[in-house]
Amino acid sequence: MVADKIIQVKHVSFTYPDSKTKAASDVSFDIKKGTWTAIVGHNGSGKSTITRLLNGLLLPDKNPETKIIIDGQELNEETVWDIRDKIGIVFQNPDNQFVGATVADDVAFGLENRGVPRDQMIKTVKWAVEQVGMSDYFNAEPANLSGGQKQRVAIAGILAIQPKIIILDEATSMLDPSGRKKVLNLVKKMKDMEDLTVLSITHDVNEAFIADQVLLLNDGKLINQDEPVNVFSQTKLINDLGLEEPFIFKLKDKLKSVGIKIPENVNTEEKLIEILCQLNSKM
Amino acid sequence: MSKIIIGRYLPGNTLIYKMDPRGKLLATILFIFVIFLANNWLTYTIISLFALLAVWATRLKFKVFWDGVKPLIGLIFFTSLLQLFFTVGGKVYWKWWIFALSSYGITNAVYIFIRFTLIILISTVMTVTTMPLEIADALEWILKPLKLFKVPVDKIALVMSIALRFVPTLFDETLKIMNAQRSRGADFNNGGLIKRAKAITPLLVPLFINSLETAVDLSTAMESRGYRGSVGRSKYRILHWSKYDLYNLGYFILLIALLLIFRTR
Amino acid sequence: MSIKFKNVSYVYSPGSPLEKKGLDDINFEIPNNKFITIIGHTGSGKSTLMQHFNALLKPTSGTIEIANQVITPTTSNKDLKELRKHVSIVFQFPEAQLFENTVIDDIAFGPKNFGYSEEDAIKLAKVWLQKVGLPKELAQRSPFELSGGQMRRVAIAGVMAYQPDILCLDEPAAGLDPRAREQMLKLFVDYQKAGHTVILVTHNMDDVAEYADDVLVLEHGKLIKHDRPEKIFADREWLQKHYLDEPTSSLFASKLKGYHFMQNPITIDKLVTEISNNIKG
Repeated sequence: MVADKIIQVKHVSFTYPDSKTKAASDVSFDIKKGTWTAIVGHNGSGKSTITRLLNGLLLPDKNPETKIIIDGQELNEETVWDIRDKIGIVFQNPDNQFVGATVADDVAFGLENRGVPRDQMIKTVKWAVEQVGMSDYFNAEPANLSGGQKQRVAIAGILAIQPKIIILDEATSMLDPSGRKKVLNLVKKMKDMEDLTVLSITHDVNEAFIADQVLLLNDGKLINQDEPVNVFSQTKLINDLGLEEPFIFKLKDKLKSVGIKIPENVNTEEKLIEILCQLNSKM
Repeated sequence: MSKIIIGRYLPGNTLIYKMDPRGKLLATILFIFVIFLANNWLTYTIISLFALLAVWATRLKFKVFWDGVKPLIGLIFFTSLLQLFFTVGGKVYWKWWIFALSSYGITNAVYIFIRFTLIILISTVMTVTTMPLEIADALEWILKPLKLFKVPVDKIALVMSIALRFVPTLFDETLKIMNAQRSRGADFNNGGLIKRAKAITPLLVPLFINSLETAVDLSTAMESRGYRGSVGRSKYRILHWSKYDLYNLGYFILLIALLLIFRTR
Repeated sequence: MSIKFKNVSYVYSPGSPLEKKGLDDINFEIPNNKFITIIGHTGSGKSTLMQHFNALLKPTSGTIEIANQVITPTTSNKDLKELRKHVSIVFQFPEAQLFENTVIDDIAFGPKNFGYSEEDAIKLAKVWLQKVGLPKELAQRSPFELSGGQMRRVAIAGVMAYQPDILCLDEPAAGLDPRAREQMLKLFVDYQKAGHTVILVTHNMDDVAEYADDVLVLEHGKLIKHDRPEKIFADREWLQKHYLDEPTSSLFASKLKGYHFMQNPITIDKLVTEISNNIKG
């Protein structure tokens, strides 16, 4: 079913003007509506380039086969603004995307750009700020907010324009663990509530593990596209690409080396705990 | 922290805080012109009392205003001294080469002194009681007529509000880089002028580069959020006139009337 | 040359409406050549504490003994260069401090400030460029042409090149990918083993468990605990009360029912040993 696919990327390559190597090299993938996808790869693997291609901030290298289709609309000069209405991006640096002078002003920014009438804007801003739990900071200035709070405001700004897709472009990498948790929980909640499709660019394995599928990138190439368990259980590949093995796989390997065999199909924490408890009681 | 008080908002809740920033900005600008209507002791006394009334209405400690005047006190005295010794006319008390001390000189010096001080006081009243962002909004309103001459007032206003929003960020960044370079043995406080100018490179270069990065990030974010120039934008932040602005207006009419009545023709 | 804090307090903007306590009566002593970690939430005073190590901030009250110097509220700014040669800080996202035309000159900036001759400084810079894992071909490049991860290494080389006895680092691996992270931590562990003190501010409890000899826990400007990592992570209730995370390994261990642990396994290797002991009897 084609209607099911909210993002279709076909044969997309991209070369930065002053570079010889391709930042994205013949990348093709589909993303189903309402899913959570993690794009994983080490720094410089081309993850962020992909997001910027999706909303037309960058234009792919010319190739007749290249196509980017968002929610049934092909990305080109005429549709780029429509497509930006459908995609909200939370960027890495909390400070550098906070445009407004206060929380409310920042959330309103996207609405102002779209010429939304003021009466409606006031309602929407209030609603969006409530959704991210920042009502107590409605008139606060960014200088008085933590990184995590700023990212929540960024999410409110995105919710306000009611997009279909939300992209987290390493949005939690500059936050402390508690800020990171709050932001991720918020996105999960919003995804369910607003029926959003989430694309999260990250090198945090735990963040990638909550996804429905993982796109593994290396040197601009798409290496693998599968469920997280299947991607991360290829421990050799993961290590070769300079990524971190998830804890349970590391533990399994180490147990194996001291002679405790864990079946191949044990891929989740619950299962590993179960099997270890069984092994222990048998002895 | 910056020692210059002009531009530093101090939260408060008195009448003057409730006035519309447009009115306050207009009043401040007009005050600077109106001051030239004063030309005798009586009118100078009147306008001084009015200025002090505005200062009093903020209910802030007088120290706040003294801090505003202090950095400029040298300049004020210098200008007054020039008036004092270079004005000719009236009774001459003392004369040497091109310098003279005359009765006109003395009055002029005092007038200049008062004029300067009052302008600083009134500007301080404006800036301590109005958030920078409101000042930017007010400026946009005042500049609006320039739209007729194709001046991109909306864009200027957006640039102003973004610039204001990034002042604290830049301040933090400066402090951080200074600390980092100090840790690497840089010395910003000692040595002669040339040595100090040199010492500032390790601070300025990173600041410049970081600001540039911020600008690139910010423009990416703005574009992603649908910013495509000022055409077709609506406005979230709107200013409202209120009854408090009538006090502002009344204050001003009374001031001008008194000055016109009592000034020497 | 141990580090000793005696009743150290620090107040931001004293006497103004913005007055805020940064540090509140901090007391501790740490021996030489150890790997120390400082943990605590954002705003707990970690970076305020760190800035006291080389007197970027001077205590409002109390005394600090560090690198054979004593810092008091009245210590003159003139005497600090010698201190900073021995105690240095790498701030968060240190790539922001690069400014020279070439990588090598940037690394040599610190050594030159601390009295090395031009020639020696460049020599040291070359050594440290490679020690942080960068190819020597980068020496003459502009630091601004490098990738973020490479810039980070140049900045760190710039501090390590004059080999401070005490190296303080604020989240040096933040934002790096896992491999770069691991390499970086190894660099600091090696540096400590070579006879220096390393003080690491971090949120990563696995790193704390793995590398720390001593842990300082801060909360609201107070030092609420100072102990070895095994002790810190032994009290689960206390950790929860202060919203502190546990290392992944001990958290995993806590879910294993019917197991008996000789010791709370805070690292993965200890966990494997404990599991193996349980299963194999």
